[in-house]
Amino acid sequence: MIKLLRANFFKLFCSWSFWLTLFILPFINIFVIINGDRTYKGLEPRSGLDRWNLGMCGETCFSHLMFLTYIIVLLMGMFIGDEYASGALRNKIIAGYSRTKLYFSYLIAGVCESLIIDLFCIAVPFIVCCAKYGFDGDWGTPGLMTVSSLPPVAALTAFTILCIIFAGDRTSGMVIAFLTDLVMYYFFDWFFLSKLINEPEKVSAAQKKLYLIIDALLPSSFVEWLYAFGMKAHDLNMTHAPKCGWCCITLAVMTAAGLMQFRKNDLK
Amino acid sequence: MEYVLKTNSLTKKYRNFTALDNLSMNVPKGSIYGFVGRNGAGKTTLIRLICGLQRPTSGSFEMFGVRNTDRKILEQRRRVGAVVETPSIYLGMTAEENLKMQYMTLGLPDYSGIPELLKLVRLSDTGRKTARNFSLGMKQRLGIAVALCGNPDMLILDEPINGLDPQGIIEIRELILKLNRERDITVLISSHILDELSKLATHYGFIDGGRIVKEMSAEELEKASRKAVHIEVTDIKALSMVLEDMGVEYKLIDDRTADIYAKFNITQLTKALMPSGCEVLSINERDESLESFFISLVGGESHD
Repeated sequence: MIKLLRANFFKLFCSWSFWLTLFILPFINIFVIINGDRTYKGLEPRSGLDRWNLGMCGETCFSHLMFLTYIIVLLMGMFIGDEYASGALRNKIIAGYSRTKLYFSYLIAGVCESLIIDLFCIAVPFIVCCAKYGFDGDWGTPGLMTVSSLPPVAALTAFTILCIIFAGDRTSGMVIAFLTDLVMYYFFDWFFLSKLINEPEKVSAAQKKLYLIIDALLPSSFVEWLYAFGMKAHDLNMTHAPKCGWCCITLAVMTAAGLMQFRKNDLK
Repeated sequence: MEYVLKTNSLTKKYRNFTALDNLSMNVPKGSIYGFVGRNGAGKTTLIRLICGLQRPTSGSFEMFGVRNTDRKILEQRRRVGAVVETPSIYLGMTAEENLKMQYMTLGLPDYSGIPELLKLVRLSDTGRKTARNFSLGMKQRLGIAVALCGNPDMLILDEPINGLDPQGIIEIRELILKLNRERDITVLISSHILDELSKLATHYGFIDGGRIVKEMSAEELEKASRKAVHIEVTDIKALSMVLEDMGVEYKLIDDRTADIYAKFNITQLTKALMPSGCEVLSINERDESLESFFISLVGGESHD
């Protein structure tokens, strides 16, 4: 397993797609900061905390999560998908590795890649924010939000890997992952959200709770709470965000499904 | 005789299609085993099963004496290198980087064997050129080099000369012969290009419809192949009539040549042809081609 991981990480760190994403994606967040700064320029700040809120730095550090689904699909397509496309996966099976070890080596490397990019995209704009507006000393909120972003990132990675394994090739797998996530996100959000916003009196407390749970189970829906908490909470008239632990259930289910499918598949 | 690979009633079914049907074969140690069959006969399917890419529906095989159902088969797979259908190489990496990746995958301690491997497959001067820019022959050779990482005892090559130009075919052939003779590597090579296989193989397995039709050594094949006298004349009709009268087995090739499969007296034949004015232009003896032998085994027309 160590040898497989070593090979996978070597390939990862030699990959242009990884480095390109790592250095370009934080600029999305930095752009949002600059834009926010332009919007709020001239307003009189009362305290460091106000300046921080004015810059909305807390949420802009997570703006990259808006595109997370698409980014992860592309990254996993370039990484895991390349193993299928190049036939390197065959080499590893012929070399005598079990399917279980192979699967987990890909999953671990893929999740690490996604998490590294996520953390880098949070850290770089956070530093820019602190340099521009000062730091109010509160590690709790940004720390909690950072930790909350990790399970959905990992779950989306596992889901994309499952789609590539299910399809058996890079392009089909990426398309399935992309479309499924898009359909689930928009269908769920369109169906339930419209009810919550337009007919709130018809929605019971239990249904609201159920919505929060399902929203947390769908990683793309959950991350919206991270980069647009204020807007979403206001629309839904809620003060609490869903718990990120539910995303861990999604991660576990996707991991198990991916392993079962990988062990079952006939490879070419 | 020691066998590195033995299959026992190996079967593989895909929904309504049976790719392998109780296939049993034996690959002797140190041989170049030519696996001969038409497109769709089951050659690649068998190779995929042996390499662990797919699971058999029923039956079993033994590799280096270990059964496929035994967990220890994973250790034995490490003694095998394979190129299945297309070379498994990273197109975005150079030849050296591809070998480095394979070394890492196998957990080999250092990369000192890489320059020698590149020299063996004649890719040592590719420098920073990525595999994407290699010719087909170069990609094939790189695929073989990747398969040779870790010094395998057996090499499995699935149609390695498909799509290659004559020079590329010669290079692959020479490489395989070198590996077998100098490193004592057993080679299982599948192909439907029979003429090329006849220059390589020491043993043959003929497959058709997912079954082994016949297994034999090159010596046995030579004995079994019929010798023929290839004759060229000016009047094929006259020759045909004379041969019919002589009662010998023959086959007309075109409007000037024929193959005669029986012993006959050449003087008598030429004398018999003289009244019709038919001249004998050339006579030479030749063995039945592998293609003809294969066709005679599985049925169909030969185009010798």
